[in-house]
Amino acid sequence: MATAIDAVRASARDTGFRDTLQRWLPKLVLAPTALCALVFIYGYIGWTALLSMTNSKMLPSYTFVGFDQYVRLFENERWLVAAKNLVLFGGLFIGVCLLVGVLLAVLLDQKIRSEGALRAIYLYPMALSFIVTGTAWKWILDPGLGLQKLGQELGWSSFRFDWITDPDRAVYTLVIAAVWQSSGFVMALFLAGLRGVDPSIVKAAQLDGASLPRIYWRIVLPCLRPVVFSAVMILSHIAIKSFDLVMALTGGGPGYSSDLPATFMYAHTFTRGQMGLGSASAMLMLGAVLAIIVPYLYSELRGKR
Amino acid sequence: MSALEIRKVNKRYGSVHVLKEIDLSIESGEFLILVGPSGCGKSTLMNAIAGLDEISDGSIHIGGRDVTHVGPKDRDIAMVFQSYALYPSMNVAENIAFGLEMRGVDKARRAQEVARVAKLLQIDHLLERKPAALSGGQRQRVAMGRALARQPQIYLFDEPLSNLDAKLRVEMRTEIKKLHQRLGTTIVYVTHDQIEAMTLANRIAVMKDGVLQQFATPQQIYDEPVNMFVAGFMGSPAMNFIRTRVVRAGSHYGVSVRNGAGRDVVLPLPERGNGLSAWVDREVVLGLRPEQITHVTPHRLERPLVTELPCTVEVAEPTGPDTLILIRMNDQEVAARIEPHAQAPVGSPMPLAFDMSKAVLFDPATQQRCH
Amino acid sequence: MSLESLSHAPRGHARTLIHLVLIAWAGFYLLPLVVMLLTSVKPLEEIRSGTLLSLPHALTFEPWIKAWSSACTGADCRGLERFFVNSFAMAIPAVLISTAIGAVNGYALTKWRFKGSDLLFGLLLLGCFIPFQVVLLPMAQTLGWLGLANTIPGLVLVHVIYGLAFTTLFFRNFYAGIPDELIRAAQLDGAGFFTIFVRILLPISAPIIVVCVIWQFTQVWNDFLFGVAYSGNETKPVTVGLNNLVNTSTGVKEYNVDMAAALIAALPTLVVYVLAGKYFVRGLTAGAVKG
Repeated sequence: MATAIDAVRASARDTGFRDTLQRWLPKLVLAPTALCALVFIYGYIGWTALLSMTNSKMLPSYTFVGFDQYVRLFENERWLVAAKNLVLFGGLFIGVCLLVGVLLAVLLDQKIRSEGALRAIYLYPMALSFIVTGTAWKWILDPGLGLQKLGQELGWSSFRFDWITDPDRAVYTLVIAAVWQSSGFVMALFLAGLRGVDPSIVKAAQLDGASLPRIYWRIVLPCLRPVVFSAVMILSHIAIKSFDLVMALTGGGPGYSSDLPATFMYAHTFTRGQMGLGSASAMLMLGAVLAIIVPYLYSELRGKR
Repeated sequence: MSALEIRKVNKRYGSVHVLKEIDLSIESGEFLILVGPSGCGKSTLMNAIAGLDEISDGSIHIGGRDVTHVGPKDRDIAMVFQSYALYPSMNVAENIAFGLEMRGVDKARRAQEVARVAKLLQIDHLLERKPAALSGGQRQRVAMGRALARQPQIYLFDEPLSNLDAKLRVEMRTEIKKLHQRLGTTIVYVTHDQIEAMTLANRIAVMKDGVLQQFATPQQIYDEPVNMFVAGFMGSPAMNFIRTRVVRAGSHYGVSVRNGAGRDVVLPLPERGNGLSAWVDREVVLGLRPEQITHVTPHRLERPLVTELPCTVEVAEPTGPDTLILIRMNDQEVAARIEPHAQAPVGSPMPLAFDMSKAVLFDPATQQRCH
Repeated sequence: MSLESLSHAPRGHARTLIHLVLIAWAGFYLLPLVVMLLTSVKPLEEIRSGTLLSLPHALTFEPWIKAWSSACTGADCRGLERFFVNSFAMAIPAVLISTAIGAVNGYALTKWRFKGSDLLFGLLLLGCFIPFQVVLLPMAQTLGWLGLANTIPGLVLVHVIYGLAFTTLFFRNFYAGIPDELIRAAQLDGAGFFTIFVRILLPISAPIIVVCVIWQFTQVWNDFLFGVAYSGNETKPVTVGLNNLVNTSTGVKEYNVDMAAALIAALPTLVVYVLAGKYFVRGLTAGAVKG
């Protein structure tokens, strides 16, 4: 026995190179990813920033114009509409999602027998592409053949639901479809949060004589503040990036009344030959995301330490 | 040739100095225990021996070979982890054989080794099971089996018993001791449990704040602690520390104590060849273990350095085989260990015999032993 | 008082009300799916004369067949089939590659930490959150230089690069929960970087692999932005194909075909959701909350 192990022992000694390799392997393995991140994320952000300060039109040009493109952006009626729409759409989308999410989560938390099935139904839209969601809702909201017609056929002859063709209301149809897609997810976040609340707290409150709604309002929901926090982060992130849904549901129309920054950026960069302006709008989108995400990441990473 | 030699080892994490000038060495077949409170550096030292943590300076030698810059797998050591660290996807036999497989031992040999180890640890019937299907004690055995199969020069045990319940812990402790006696292996064992340290070790290294406080045999550590930390850390219940004053009594020295009744008495100190004259009339801390204060029996009083003092029982804590009572001396609580039948009722006087033959004195300023 | 009466659940009328509210919401969530299904199996005639929810009198699968093989996008009438195939050709390699790299990354980042590994992770993490519009144009240029513009390998590359942040995050969080002692034990046993990964960690990584694969598949399959920006006529993914098909304005608007097409485009991710919903939700919450 001993001889076999001794032989192995001897051969194991001459391993200087392998040891060095082993020490470097983790770094070697991560190097491509690090390089990718540096080039394709940070490098490209820099590149876009650069383009946003040039007068690039159909093709990139590197004639510097300083912040002219940003100035132009804020003189551009369509951008102002897109930015205003984002505030409106984002605010409503986040608000309604949170409300629906909390409500459904609290109701589902009441030991509902069919909880599994209901949860599955609430969440399936999250598996769909925004393009599919947009296509479906475009059809449902069609004033000629959709919900409006259904309402009228059911006997409510004056029923009108033509928001999708109304320049003042088209943006609200985006809210409906987006809430449909994402609120189930918010519900899942809250439900997970509720399940994480120490049940003995609830028992203690019951022994103190608190009613169920009071227990939720005063004790359980305040525990969910971190969930609200992350839900707002995620939803605002979705809102700022929203592109597919607009393309499929309203196409930004009627006119450009339901444009969002993402569609504005795409249209100007790829179809209208305004690369400089498009890049400037992309940079502003990044700025908006960073303004929300960085404090969040900072607190998350600090909390873990 | 020493099996393990650690020379002037330092370890710093940034500005934190976690190991300071550690120096120790053990012979082949010895059972070394690294003991100390959490954060004392004992686990860091073990990881340094294993090669899992690099040291900042100093050197480590295993079997005479300098392994300071050798990777963990080539140091010829095996380790039993606190969490056992059994590979969850492998069954017991595969767990035990993995180290051999990695070292290129052929399959037949591996099977032989697994069988040998399994028999040794009585886990033959568990070989096909996955770790998740084992109890705590069984996992502990498998973790030991994994180390034994490798037949390394040194075994490292990192608090291996701390995840077991009290009863199993005692059983496994005995088992480890038996195994060590039978196989004559060299073991380095980390624990924060001073009873484990006393029962298992040939040699104990007591650590605190990254500094090796004392490195000696268990009995030496117990009887001759070098400072108040070692004295207080080893032994349960802990050694009594009584603030007192050195007095000269003729050609001898003693310490003056005042018992609960308010009477000053001089307890004689043993002669240890060191001049206590410098300490006369200065404050010292008298270290006296509870078992050195006990109920009075005639023949006990015949021994030298034993003094009878009237005391008052303030609290009594029966433990079964003996009873711990608290008395008051120099306005401090002092524990004494007596036989249950000898205990006087709480609140009533009781004479106690103070055996000063093993009494030690500490310098209150430096906390170092001065007598 | 018995312990039972303490359990916090409303009973009686309150309970019925709760059920009603929950079921009503389920109706809201199901409505589009039901409408799509009903519309997709009705002849155009019935769509015009009936309502969204009226059941088909003459059940037909013609719209499905047409959507699949002969619906027109502009003048090109080859249906959704080729886009569907494109999406698979894009998603499968993109998912496999990004998951594999993410797994090794997560392992290296948690079990072999080095100076700068936290910084690297932080840099990657931010990559999960940037709006892709900000890299869209430079990437288009790069793909052009690489000769990958309008090709499926180009789309695969893009999805791998921008999926890495997420896959790494998944595996990092999973491996962070595996005790380091396991790796140290294997190191002492003589196993190296890749041996430990393959022999010790991979066999216990099944749950996170499933989560990651599902998440990535859903992301890649449902992507529209990269698809519309970087694909050519023959390499469009199904989301782009669907959007073009629905928005084609020539000829009669065939709502039933549109809905069938939408369902076809949604089918793969729906199937994944039905088969592995648990993992899907876990991915959503893990990817989102642990950000």
